[in-house]
Amino acid sequence: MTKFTTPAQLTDHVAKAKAARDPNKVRVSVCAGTGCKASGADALIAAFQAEIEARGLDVEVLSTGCHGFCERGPLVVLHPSGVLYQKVKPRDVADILEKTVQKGELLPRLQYRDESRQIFEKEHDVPFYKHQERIVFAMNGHIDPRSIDDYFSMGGYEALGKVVGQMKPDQVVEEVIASGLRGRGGAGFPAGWKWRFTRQAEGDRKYLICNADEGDPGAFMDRSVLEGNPHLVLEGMIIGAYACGASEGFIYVRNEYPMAVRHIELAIAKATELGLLGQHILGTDFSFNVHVNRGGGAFVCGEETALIASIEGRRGSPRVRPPFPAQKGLWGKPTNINNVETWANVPTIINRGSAWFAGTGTGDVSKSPLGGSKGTKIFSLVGKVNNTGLVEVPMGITLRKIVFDIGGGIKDSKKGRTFKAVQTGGPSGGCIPDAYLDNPVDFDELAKLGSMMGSGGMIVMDDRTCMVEVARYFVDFLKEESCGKCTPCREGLRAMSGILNRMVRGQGRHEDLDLLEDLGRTMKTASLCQLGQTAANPVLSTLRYFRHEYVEHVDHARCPAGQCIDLIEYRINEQCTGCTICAKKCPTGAITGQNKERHVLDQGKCVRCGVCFDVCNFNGVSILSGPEIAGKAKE
Amino acid sequence: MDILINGKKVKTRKGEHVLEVARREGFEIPSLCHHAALPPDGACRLCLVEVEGPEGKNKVTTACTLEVAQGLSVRLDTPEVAANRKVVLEMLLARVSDSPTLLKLADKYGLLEMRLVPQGEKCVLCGLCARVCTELVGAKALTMEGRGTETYFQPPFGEPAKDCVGCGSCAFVCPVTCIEYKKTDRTIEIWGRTFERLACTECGEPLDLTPEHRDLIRRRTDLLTPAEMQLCGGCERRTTMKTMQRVVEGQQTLETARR
Ligand SMILES: Cc1cc2nc3c(=O)[nH]c(=O)nc-3n(C[C@H](O)[C@H](O)[C@H](O)COP(=O)(O)O)c2cc1C
Ligand code: SF4
Ligand code: SF4
Ligand code: FES
Repeated sequence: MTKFTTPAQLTDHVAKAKAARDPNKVRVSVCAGTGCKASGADALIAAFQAEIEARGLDVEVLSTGCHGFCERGPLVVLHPSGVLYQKVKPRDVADILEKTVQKGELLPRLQYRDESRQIFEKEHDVPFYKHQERIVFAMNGHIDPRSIDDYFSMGGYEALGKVVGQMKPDQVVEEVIASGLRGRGGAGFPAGWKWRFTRQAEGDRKYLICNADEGDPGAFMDRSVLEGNPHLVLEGMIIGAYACGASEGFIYVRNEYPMAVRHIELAIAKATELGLLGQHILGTDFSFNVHVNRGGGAFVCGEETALIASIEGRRGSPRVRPPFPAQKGLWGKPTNINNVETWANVPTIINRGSAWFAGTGTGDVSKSPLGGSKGTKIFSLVGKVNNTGLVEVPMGITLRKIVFDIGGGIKDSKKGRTFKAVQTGGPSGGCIPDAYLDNPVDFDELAKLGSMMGSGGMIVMDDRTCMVEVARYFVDFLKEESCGKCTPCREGLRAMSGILNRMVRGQGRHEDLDLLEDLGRTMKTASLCQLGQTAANPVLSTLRYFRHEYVEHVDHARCPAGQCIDLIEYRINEQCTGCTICAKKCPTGAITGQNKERHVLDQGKCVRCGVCFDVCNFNGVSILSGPEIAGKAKE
Repeated sequence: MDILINGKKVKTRKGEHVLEVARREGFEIPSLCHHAALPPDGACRLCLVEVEGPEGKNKVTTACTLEVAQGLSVRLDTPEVAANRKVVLEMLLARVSDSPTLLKLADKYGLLEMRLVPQGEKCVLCGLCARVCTELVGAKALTMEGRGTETYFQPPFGEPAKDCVGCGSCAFVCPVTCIEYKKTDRTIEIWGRTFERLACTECGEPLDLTPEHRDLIRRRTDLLTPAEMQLCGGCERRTTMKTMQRVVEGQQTLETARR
């Protein structure tokens, strides 16, 4: 292929590539995202290739980006039928090709079953996928991220052709504003507004940044987008550069994401070769270059001013805004910074139009993009649910739908585990209790509940999760990650950490509750950057919805959830049938007893790991906490 | 451009910040990390004020970083400001419990009770030392190291400051005087280093100037000859008006260089 020298050439090429893609072609799509690679996707792909060749089949093997359901990997989807196989091993390959591909027979051993053992045949019928709506992930699973031809064949770079060929920069900005697209990196600021600020800011040079720092522990949507569809992000950035008037772009990606780096670098090279990037893009006066920066991966370096400092080679500490990056960003020049997922939404908005995009989501954005939340959001769903992974859902979906339909409900519900809370927004998000499960998920609604969208972390907690311990965990994380510059964040987190660590040991005081609230309020009001301003959320939200758990800890040294190991004891009760399983599993040998006789637990040896409680099928292990346990009472 | 401070109309210039304007007008706002000769940093968060917003949507923010703007109206002593300032002070005082500067502020702003565990630190992490050293002196001997509660302003790696010129500016600006600075007749000791004191070329009086500092000034400006720099206060006053003028001009160039 040679360089495109006009927008029309590109548009033409994409149209032909789309038409040439045969929807009935037999394809084996193997997820080769980081998750599935870890569970053996590479060997699987090699096995498919070898076996297809040996059998002389006309079948294409696609090594794709993440499908989201990593927990069940390696995942294989057969096209065009859409049959899903999970946890596939190389030894299954011959069977899949012979039975399913050639004869149309299904292999139940590889099919997905839900908790009630019901089998689901096709990918789009599996509850995990059924309730999702995929805009950003639409192509993952259908293309090889290393192939620009695959991207073309799915309509890739059509939007760029349209923008450069037919639209003025201001029109592009207006279109993005009208779509209601808000930043996916945390704060939900209207993307189009930011583009407009950058466009209107005075400066001879302007920059773009793609924020792929993704510092939230447990979040990996940005990684999956970059790995699985790098051209989508790149196309979004090129369109953004055209709209903002930027000539140079930077992708700041954490060093722990080698595959994302490889794929995006490959995409940049290919796009440059074809004249989609570089000098005189598509033969016009528009020029734009993109560089990849690898970040050390500190959480605070994801904050935009810290990130900019880090690209400039300075210490990654946030600075006071204003001036905002759109006024004074990289090297003092107007800079527009957006998150990976924000960029990845742009080509679809251009292709399908702002009205189409605004058709999904909440509120009314006809007057202002702040009037609602539009499009989809990718969440990383983890914790005590049956199905975990990356889920892309329409804004406005209820938490209940995510947790119970997509997530398949609470793990071990048969043993009595129930939903307690869902924590959204990453480490500085808040915990939302069941009373709000039917609330719609969008930027403003989550904020009202004392949490936030953040970058899309979602941790489900069950009745055995102690909310004081949850708060302690996040506060200790944030205390380490605070940059240390401003007083409320640094000293507030230190003080909170001290208090919460005392509480989970049963040494809290009742006055501590007010003190936590006081500290939280000042951290929120007086901190310099959003890390400090949001760092009290885990504490304030749990105090708001689960105050009784705090009260139990400080007044009675009791952990109602039975999780704080200094405050609990495991005891074997009369329901014990003497099945011996706990005695076998206990790592310290603290449980003894004869077969079919009630067992005995030696408190002196018990390390309170809870294995006995988890393995017992007869509710024969109880957790005791509070004054009733000897020696553990509050000093 | 006029702004309102506690309802009083006050004249300002573009680019000024509320803290400097308010102080010029005789209002009091506490601060630790602000210095008139340095750009604002917003680290200590003591200088809180309340900005009046539309529909009663007021916002508490730091005066040192708040640029004046048309129609701006700020209040310095609202309950919101007082309550948050008190907690910030409480946090600072937990960190550094024996600083007279902080104790005075605590007294003044009504902090009666300490609920936090004392940390026994000396430094309030205002960052002035490193900013003065980098931006005014130009020696860049101090940096912010570590992160979170384990943050320190110190020479790189906590070793004796190899780029320090012994000028003592950091010790001079430190609001809690926690930087050790020792002067004998012939030496200056700071940050693990011992410097020689130069003597006045006229009368031989020991100066607060080290050879390293003199050389640094020479590198940053050529308006002063070594001889001119190496005069004690008394002898300097006796030199000609012309030299004086050049010193002033030299300082101005330093200022511009900094900007
Ligand atoms: C402590 C902290 C960490 C952040 N980390 C990230 C991150 O990892 N990725 C990201 O895109 N934005 C992150 N942000 C948000 C950025 O500051 C910025 O708002 C965002 O990149 C803007 O892009 P958007 O408008 O497309 O969301 C973080 C913010 C804070 C305060
Ligand atoms: S809020 Fe925290 S992370 Fe942000 S500047 Fe202050 S100390 Fe640093
Ligand atoms: S040593 Fe003094 S000047 Fe330097 S940061 Fe600490 S308190 Fe501020
Ligand atoms: S003087 Fe304003 S934050 Fe320190």
